[in-house]
Amino acid sequence: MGAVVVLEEVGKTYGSGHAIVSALDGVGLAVPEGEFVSIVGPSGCGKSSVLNLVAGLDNPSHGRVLVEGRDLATMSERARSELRLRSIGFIFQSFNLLPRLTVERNVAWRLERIGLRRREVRTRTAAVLEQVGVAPTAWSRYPSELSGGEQQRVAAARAIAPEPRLLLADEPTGNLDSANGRMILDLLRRLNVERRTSIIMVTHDAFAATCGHRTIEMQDGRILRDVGSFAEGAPSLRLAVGAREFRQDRS
Amino acid sequence: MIGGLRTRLESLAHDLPQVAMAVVVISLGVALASGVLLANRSLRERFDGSVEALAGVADLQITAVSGGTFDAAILDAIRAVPGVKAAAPLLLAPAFTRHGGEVTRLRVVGVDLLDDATVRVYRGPGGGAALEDPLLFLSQQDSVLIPRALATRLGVPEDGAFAVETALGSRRLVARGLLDDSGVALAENLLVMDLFAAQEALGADGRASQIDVVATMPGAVDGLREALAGVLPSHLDVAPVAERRRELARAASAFQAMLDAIAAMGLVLAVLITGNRLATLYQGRLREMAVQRALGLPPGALVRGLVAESLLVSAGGVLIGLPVGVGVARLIVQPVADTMSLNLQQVVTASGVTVRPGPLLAAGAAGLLAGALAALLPALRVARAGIVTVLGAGPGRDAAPEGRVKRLGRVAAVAGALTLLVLQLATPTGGLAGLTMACVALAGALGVEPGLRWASRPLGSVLGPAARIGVEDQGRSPRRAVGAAIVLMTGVAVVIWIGSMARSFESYVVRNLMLDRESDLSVDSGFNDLTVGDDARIDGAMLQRLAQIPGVRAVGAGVNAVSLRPETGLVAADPIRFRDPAFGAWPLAEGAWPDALERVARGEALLADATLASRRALTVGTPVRITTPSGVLELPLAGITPTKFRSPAGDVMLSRAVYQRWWGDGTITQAFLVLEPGASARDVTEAIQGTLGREQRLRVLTRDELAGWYGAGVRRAFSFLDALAGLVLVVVTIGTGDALAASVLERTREIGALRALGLTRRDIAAQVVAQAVAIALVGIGLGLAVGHAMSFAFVEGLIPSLLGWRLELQASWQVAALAAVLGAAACLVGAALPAARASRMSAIAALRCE
Repeated sequence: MGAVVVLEEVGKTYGSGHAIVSALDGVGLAVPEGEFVSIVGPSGCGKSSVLNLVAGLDNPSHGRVLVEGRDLATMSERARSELRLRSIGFIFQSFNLLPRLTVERNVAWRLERIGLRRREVRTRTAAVLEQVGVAPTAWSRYPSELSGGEQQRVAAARAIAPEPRLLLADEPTGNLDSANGRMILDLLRRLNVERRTSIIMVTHDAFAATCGHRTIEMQDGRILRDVGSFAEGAPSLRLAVGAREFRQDRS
Repeated sequence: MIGGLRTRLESLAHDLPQVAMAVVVISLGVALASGVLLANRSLRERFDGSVEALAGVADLQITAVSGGTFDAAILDAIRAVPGVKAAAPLLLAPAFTRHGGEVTRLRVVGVDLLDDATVRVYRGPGGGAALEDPLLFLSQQDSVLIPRALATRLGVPEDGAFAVETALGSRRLVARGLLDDSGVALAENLLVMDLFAAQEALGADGRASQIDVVATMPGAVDGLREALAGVLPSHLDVAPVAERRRELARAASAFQAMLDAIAAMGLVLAVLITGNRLATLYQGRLREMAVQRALGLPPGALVRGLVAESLLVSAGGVLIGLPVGVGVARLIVQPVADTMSLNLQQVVTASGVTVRPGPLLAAGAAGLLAGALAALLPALRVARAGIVTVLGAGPGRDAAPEGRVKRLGRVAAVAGALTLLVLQLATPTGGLAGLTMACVALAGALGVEPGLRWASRPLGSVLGPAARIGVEDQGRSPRRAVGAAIVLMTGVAVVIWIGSMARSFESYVVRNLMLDRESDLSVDSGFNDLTVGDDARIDGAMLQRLAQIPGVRAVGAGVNAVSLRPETGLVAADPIRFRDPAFGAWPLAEGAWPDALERVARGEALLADATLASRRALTVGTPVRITTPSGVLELPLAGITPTKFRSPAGDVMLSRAVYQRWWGDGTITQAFLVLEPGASARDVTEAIQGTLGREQRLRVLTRDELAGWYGAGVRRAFSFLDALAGLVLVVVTIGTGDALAASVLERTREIGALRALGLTRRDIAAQVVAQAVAIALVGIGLGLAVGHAMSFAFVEGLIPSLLGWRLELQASWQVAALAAVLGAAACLVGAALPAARASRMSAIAALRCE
């Protein structure tokens, strides 16, 4: 099973001279295809820096970041954008939906950008919105007319619409109440099971942290603990639906 | 108070780039306004000062009813009228001098120097006598008195000689006395000569342009006027000086109102752009203000504080704008003077700009007011924002749905504008035209928001998926873009308005003037090359010699003059020009007598142009009475021609034989030559220049050259409008750039998300450019419509009311295309910086942005 993401002795520093701050220090990590990894740790420990480096939004100060076997540092800005567009989905804590586009358009634009035909865009948009549980009556609404949970589901639909192999989630439940938070975690789990999408989720939520196959604890820019792994066949069974489906899938 | 001021300054210092942009915009508006106002006031002051300085203490002024000069022998009879304290003749003529490659327009004034001090004030340097040796001055025909400022400007020392171009050719004059900068010297660019020397130099022996009369008892002017009217022949008119001044002031005011409107438009644009800029500034501080309100600051205090800040910003703009405005005034004063000369048919000189506090204060106050007005709406908006919403989820960017009142307002404005345009078409009047222009501009502005909404969908489909996001985003909530599109619409409309007006003047003037000037060659005074008109006289006796030049088949002359009773221009043409189509045509409006042209050629009738016929409600067959030096001429109106542009009051066309007989004037202004078939125009021109041209300063032009010269004159007169149009485009560029920059700033977080989700930097830049394209499409589209509608109302309604000319609108696709291209270019140039900024934005930093 090949690794979708590999971090080799990655370090990241900000600033210069006396004001230099080390965000990551010698982080090594490999995420196999289909693995659901949760990264936990206190604020400022370097969780989000890992996500930014994996997404190609930032460059490591040293070490290498490989996504789908390709070293991001050797890729052009344009190629990295292309990678994000086609192979990486991103879910943000504060949703970041485009406020002046309808729900449908918020999902469809990535598919259009990829170059799908209009009919295919429409079909696939409808499919992912149904998959994440957004009712068709809401498709023509604007983000401001939706609840937080609905917005995050639309954000998830947007993230998975191009069928990426990797999904990055930055505190996806951070702005949601517990019911909506569980719903989103359930959704992520289902995506992981149904599509075998690799997921890296940064979270503060202890409950959310146990939803994946593997939990990485970080502190001061280093990996403190790395618990469990998909390869070892020890998936978390926290969520009923996801667990059942996961079991079926495994069997 | 100081603490408050410091707080405000600190607050502004945090947003220095945005504040700097607002300062620049305000300063541009103030510069435009103060520049136009200063140039306007300077010219007006000079114009009024000249009129006043020349009038001196005179109570009454005697002039020829037919305009021009009259026999000064009447002076003795005038002096003999009881109640006349003094009567001083004056001969006025335009002249030019060249100094350092520049042509300076002068006025030669011939006065009886020994007697004129009873009417006008002459002071030498230091307030002493202007003439140290009157006998020497009078004994030398080339003596002139010259204002000291003018002498310095022309580099003429006392007793120094300089060359002056007059209608009769070049003259060498000597400055035998300097005038202190008071009294008559205030009449700008004046050369004072002895009356007899001036008569000789200007070929006007025994003639005067006016006689100024001082009454013994200033309170009995009306009685003296009646007494003088009893003595004067019918071709002379006596009127109080104050009345003449009022007439001139009225004519000058109308022209100035037009310039003031342009200055006001500059400030309106500044308000729009600054409002947009401040709205962005305040939006960025929304959370901070919500915290202040949560801690007890009332909304009123918040609004007052923000308006105070904007006043500080506009104060900065005013401080920069006023000195720039002085520069703008210096740049445009000469072309404005040319335009004023053309409109007033008077010599208006422009020797620099006098920096007066009045216009600067007015422009400065308007700039401060503009800043306060610009701040008011955004300040009220942020003060009304919900505290909990802002502190919780952050400021929303969603536009509130449009209410019924707003929608009805838009429909009503468009319907009102269309109704007024139809009314304007049916009954064009000045007042209605002003209202129509205001309503059209309002309807256009209100149409921008729906325009941007409607344009977003089709445009999004065309521009591609990445750009579509930007256009759709803007279409959903086009608040920022509306400001930019309104600025662009206004800019394009102003360019079209200015262009159409100049074009209407140019093409209509050239077309109408050339209608009866279709001959192969025209001969007139070379002096016309230096003036804004073609009225310099030449000797009529040369017509016979012109006819004898080999290759010439026929000669027909014309003379242009004015009449004061009634106020009208006169175009007298030789009978052959009415009969022989080779000289041109006299197209007549429907209802003209079938043999109208023959009757005019025979001297049995006359023609009136459309302006005169409309102003005086003349119909074909109506007898028209004109007071001439030989009595009252009465001829029936045989037909109505298009406007001839001799006088804003309208023109009369008649046979030159009638003119010669009634006015006793054998001079001409132009001779038209029809050549033999196969004759070379070049050979004939050379033959004329080799003989007559050498004796008299003649200019020979082909038909195309003549049309080109008329066109160039009008273009020169309107050239200052090009400079103003250029300034408007600069403001449009800044406005568009500003709105897009504000939009980029607002969308920072979204842009970060888009980048994280896979859009490239180029995609982000394409979104901003697409937004600019949408703004350009809507702004230019509406600008074209509004510009043409405003031009129509202005040309059909306001120009006849303000200036007297009755024109036809010449809508030009070239002007429209130029305005559209320049507008689009301004828009795209404005978009370049925000697009680059958006594309350079770090995705991580953008995502962290609140």
